[in-house]
Amino acid sequence: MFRYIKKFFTSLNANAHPGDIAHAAALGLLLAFVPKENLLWAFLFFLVMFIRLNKGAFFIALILFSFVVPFADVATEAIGFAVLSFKPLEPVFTAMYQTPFVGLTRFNNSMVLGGLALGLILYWPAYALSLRFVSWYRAKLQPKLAKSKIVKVITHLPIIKQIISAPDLGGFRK
Amino acid sequence: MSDTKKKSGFKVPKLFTKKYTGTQYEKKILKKLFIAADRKLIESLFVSSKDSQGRELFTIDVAQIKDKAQAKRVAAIAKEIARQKGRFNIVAIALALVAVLALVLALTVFRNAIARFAVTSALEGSFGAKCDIASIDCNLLDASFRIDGLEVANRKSPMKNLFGVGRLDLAFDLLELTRGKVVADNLEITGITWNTDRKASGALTPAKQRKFEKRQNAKPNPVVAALKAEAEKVTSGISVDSGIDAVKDQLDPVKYLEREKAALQSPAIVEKISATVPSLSEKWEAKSKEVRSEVDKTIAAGKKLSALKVSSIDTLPEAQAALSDIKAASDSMKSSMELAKETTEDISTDAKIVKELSSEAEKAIKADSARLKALADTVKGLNVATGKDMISGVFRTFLVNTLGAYYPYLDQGVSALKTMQNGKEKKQSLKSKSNAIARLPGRNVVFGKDALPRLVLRNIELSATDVKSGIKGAGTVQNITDDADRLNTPIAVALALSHGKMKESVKGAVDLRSKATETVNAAFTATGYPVSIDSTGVSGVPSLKGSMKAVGSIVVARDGTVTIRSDLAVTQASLEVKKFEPSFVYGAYRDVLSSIKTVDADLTAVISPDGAIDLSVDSDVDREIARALKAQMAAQIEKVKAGIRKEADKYIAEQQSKYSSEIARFTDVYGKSQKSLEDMKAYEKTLNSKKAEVERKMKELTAEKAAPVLEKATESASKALKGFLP
Repeated sequence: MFRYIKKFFTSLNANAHPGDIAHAAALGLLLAFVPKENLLWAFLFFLVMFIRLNKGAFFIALILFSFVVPFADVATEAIGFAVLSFKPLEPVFTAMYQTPFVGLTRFNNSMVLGGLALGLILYWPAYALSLRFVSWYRAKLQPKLAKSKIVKVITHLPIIKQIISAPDLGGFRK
Repeated sequence: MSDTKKKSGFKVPKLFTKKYTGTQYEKKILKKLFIAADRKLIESLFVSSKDSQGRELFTIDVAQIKDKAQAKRVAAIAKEIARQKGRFNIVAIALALVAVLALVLALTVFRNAIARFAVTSALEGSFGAKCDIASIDCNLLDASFRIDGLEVANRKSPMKNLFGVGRLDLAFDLLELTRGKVVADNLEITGITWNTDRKASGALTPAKQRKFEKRQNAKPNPVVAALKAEAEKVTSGISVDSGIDAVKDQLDPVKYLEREKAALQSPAIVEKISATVPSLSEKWEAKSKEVRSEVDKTIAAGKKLSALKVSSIDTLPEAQAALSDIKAASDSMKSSMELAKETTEDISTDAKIVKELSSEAEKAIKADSARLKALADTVKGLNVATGKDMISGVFRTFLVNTLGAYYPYLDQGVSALKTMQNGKEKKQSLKSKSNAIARLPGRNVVFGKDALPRLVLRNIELSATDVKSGIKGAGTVQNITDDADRLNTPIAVALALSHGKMKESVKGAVDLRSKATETVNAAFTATGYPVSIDSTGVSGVPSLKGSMKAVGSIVVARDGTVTIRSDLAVTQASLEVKKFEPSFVYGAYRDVLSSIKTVDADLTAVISPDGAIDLSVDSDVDREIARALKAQMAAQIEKVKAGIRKEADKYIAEQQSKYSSEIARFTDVYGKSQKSLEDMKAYEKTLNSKKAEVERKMKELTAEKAAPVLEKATESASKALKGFLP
């Protein structure tokens, strides 16, 4: 986990594609919305592991959003139930439900489908916001931080020194 | 060194040594730089030139790299640009898919080994002994699961199997299984065996055993503990409250006397005599002996004088000597006489007291004798009510012991079924408590016909055939589920088992629906069941052997109250009792018992959830025994009366002998004392008589001696007075 956090900060301060971080944050949000203990979540997680994106950003987003999304559970559940009750989709759901192994995804659970729907709905806004943040950070904040005395003091702390002395730390070393 | 060019002493990455057209430069270099400073640096290092075709080409000017740090930074930027690739890592995804396929393949190949491990672990964990499986086949495509030759060892007897299953065949619903549900229309379990021999020990390794013991709930079942206490109470109740001892008491004359003793007068007076007279006897025995000795001595000393023949005394000196001896003996006798007199007078004072006590004792004995004779007349009839629950008591013991053995299984079974119900609120684990933020469970929407719980076993067919033990059984269990409310059907159970002449069957329902008033309602029958109930050595309690038939019902109420009702009949009954006293009661009792060939009893047991047990056993045989005993005992009333009289006489005689010996002893002492005095008196009389005789003799002798002198003197006087007297 520490490795991923370090990687995130390294990428944030390096010439990594901002999309790597933005997609990671959006996917972190998506997986935070979908309840665990079902095949769908496992499948999505597995998929994320094979997409080129910033894993550090993904895990940080997943953990942070996991603390937040339960506050939206009522809405998630309502959305999920609304989707499951959506008549035009009923034949699809019925076919899926009657297909072996699909049930393991627990797609018929209002929280699972609601989480997936809400995660997908919020994917693009989350991606766009993250992208903007990375761009803003790199353009505005990062140069200031690089020159900041406080940052310099912090980076000279023994523990921080040990962290940043690790390879591939990126822009902070400039 | 192949991917870099060394100019001005600095290494330049290959990415920057290439010549790029304007578009390429923008796309491959500048668009991949997201740090403004880096972009500025690279732009400052790249220079443009024209090729032979006049196109503008961009390339790095190594001479522009000022220092080593800048060269390093350029190299790092090149690396960062190189890292920027497509979103999907096709190779990795391919490898992952291969890995998944390999996993699926491994699961398919090793599915049976995995299933064997899972089943073995589960059964070993449940029974605490080794589990062996001959073959196992888990086929997802056929949606079938089969186990052949399953054997679970007995933890307490590792060389025996607790049970075995010839074949277990489960046809499950694959679709439901992939929904996380176990739904099976048919489960066949055939070839069930019990207690078969094992070739190898079925004991688990010490580590596994410790694990199993740790899992076991050490807390004793309160109902089982209550049943144990009840069994002890029932056993002791037979001997104390309702046993034959109570009947025997009524026939024992000694017991009657024991009850009357407090009202008798003689014991007190006999005790008084025993306390006082022996000491008086002891006191005077020594004194009396002393007196006797003194008397004998005195008498012996005077023996010569007593034998003296006064007629043989011829001379006066002899007479004077005899008289002197008599006087001396008379003087010496006086002290002995005084002693005898004083002693006799003293004893006579105590003799009066002893006489009074003797008189009192005689009166008391007379009164007691009359009372005890009247006691025998008071016996009009005998009560046999106390002995009438003998057979019921035997059945109570049997019932309590049976409940103690089988109730835990009933309790465990119902508890297990209740625990597996989905609707129950499960205890939150520490792990779940540690989850800071819990998600809502959501609603499961069902599409199509399915609305099944997570576990549904619609029909379980059971069959057992063991040629060796002769056990043959079959049964069906329907609608086992973990959510009875959802399935909305109670579990139906129908089991039948026969082994030898024994046949047992249970048919009923286990209703775990939340609105059900009875959790279990089952009817049972058991026939040809050999029963052997020992008397446990309690006097008068018969041992019972025979063939039992029980027809009854078990009802477990919603609150956990268990009610068992059963009509019990023991045919070909053999009731035997060990010999006890009085023999005529034993004889009557034995005859009644031997005439009983069928024992009927109605049993009712109500066990409340807090462990309180209410047992009720009613048997006709008890009434029959009571009637027979009553008749026999009525016939014995006169014998009982005679026995009481005999015992009363014996008792009176005992009492009399107790005090009369002491009185006789004292009387003897008193008599001896009186005899000594009388002997002294006789001796005194003898001496006085001898004295008188000697004195008379002396006079005679004196007269004889004085006669010639007197004659002479008379003559002389006559002669002298002749002239004076006319």
